[in-house]
Amino acid sequence: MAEILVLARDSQQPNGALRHKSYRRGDIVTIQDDGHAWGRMEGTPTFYKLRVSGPKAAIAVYDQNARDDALVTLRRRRFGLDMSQITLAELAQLDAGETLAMSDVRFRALVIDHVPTARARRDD
Amino acid sequence: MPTTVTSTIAPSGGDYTTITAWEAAKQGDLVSADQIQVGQLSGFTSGLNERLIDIDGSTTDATRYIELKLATPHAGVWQDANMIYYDDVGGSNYILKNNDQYVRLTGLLFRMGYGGATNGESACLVAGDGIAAGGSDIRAIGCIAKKLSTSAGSGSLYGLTVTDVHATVAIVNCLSYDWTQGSGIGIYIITAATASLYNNTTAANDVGVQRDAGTVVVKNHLAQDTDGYNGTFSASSDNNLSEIAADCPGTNADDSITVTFANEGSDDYHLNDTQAALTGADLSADGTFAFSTDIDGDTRTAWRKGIDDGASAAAQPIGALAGQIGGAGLPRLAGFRGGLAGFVKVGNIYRPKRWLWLPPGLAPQGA
Repeated sequence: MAEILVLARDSQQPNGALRHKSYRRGDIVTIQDDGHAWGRMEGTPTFYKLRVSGPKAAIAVYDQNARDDALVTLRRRRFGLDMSQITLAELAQLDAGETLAMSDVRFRALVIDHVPTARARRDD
Repeated sequence: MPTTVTSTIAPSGGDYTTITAWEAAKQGDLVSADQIQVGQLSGFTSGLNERLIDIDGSTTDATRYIELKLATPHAGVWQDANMIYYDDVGGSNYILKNNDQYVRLTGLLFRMGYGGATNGESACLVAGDGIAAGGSDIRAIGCIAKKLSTSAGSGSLYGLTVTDVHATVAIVNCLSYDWTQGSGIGIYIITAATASLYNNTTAANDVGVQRDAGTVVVKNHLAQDTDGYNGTFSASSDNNLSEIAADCPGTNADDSITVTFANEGSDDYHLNDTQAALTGADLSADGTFAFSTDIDGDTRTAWRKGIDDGASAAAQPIGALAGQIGGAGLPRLAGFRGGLAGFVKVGNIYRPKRWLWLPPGLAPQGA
């Protein structure tokens, strides 16, 4: 099992020129061991918390930044949840500050790799 | 007047449990918000195991900036408590990278190990590769960076690194040592707009300070490395010291000087040395970065090179020192268990493991 901290809102950075560096709603921020004692501010309204089945090592790859081959930031977080696929019931649970438990299969199905779109946008 | 917003980063009972979560929550326009965002590390008794920490994407200026520090400052000596460490960072990576324009890294401790062969791992990228143009003021003050002693890879490791052409950086009172893996470097300026390296100590590194590009001014630096200084530094560099010959950049060079530290084997790089070559320049009115304290926070009076201004007086017997402490109606220095006479020095701080308060006239018993 692992616990995951996800951004619940977009960054408070309004500068569009810094958009590629800004956190977005759904971005995966940190991945911790099951039972992690989260801080007072690691919850709503800034963060959502998930508990995912399976070993932490298997999903630890999802907390990285998106960088190109020259290590330049393409997007602040490479992986995020597709919030449009979160059910209303799940969203209500998250908004209430509860930890949402799900299987690793469900979690992986929700994860989006933002690198292809970030790279394509930069190449426009 | 900006509002200072202080958050605690702690394993339990704090606001955040990782620097990454703190930074994600605070990322924003600090200038419009008129805020200084301060993150304070505390409670990590064995350190904080975190890597690929980015400080990036916030709007800052000279008075509205980001600061990361320890809630309780270190004592100028390595401690595991509240260090930030990662013991196998992986290829071309780092523990912490700053890409914002106005940031202060104050008294942080970094320890890195790496078992691979890829060159280019840095414990702390004081300024990374994405500093925006238009000015910056990035400070690493009183930080300590060291290589994990058991690190066994062949890839080059670096302590404190600057690698952005827009970065104006001050690295002051910092200690970087034991970077011997691959071609290890204590403080590495790959490129910068201006880097002011003042009163730092590098020791037991393959290279103490290396400059590849940018204007790099080194003053009052104490290097005890295989190669103290590598590269071409600004001609305004001044009052540097090296253990090897024909090494120091700038004027008033003190080459071929071996310095005695308090206890290098125990990572204590305070001075236990009073030789004249240690005396540097007074930078309290420096035009680029003026300061007046050492790594311990003590006011610099002797302006000795490196991180520590202490050890400015010869050892005094304990009896003579005790005579300076206390007095009628005041607490008295009752004494130390044997063997300290001759080691106690004016200017050093001694922290007792316990205090024993006695009323006047009552002798200590069994202490």
